[in-house]
Amino acid sequence: MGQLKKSSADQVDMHRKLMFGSMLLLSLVFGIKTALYLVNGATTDYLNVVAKVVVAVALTLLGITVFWKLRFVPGKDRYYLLTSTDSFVAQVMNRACRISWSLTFSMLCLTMMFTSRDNSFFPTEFYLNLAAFFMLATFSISFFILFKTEGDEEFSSMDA
Amino acid sequence: MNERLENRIHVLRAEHRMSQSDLANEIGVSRKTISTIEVGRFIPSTVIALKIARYFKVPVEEIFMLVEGE
Repeated sequence: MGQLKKSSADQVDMHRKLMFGSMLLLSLVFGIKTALYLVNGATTDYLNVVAKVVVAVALTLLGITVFWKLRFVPGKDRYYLLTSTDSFVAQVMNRACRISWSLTFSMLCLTMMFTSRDNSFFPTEFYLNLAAFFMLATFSISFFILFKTEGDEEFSSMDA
Repeated sequence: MNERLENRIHVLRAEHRMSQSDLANEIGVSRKTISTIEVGRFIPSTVIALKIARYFKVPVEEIFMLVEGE
């Protein structure tokens, strides 16, 4: 019946998934920039090329995300739909944010335990990239896991 | 005390011969929101609960009820 034509709220769910897909790719870029401090030689050149490809894909996906919002989320309801906290996807975003914050904070505490201002082996940029990678990766991965596992009930008897 | 929220949305949908998507469209939420409310994984706001009740033309307590858990 109605499942072929997606509602505005369903389009917002899709917009969120695209947004978190972009975020996941962006985390990979930071991950690669972090890894550059841990490798040397030919691997560095290879990772630089991979980073450029991932940046291009991430920007493309970000462009699709913006296009999706403008094309499929109606202008008159756009602000309400995109800022509403009254939906399953908004709940998943909140939970993913809390998980990401806790894990990133724990990771930063552990990092501080094992490094100090005087004997840090890596430059500051390494830790900034590491924190950005960890935060974006945990946020986006948590979102996809929660969205998938907590709302995976497909159409019930009336939809079949 | 451990209480959980149960609902009769699935029954009401069956009575009205509606899909989750149909109901979602009628009250302006996503299908995923309806499916997760039905299985108790998303607790709907008062606004969504009232919209569902208004659509089915029944009091909200006929759709949502608190049940004692184990």
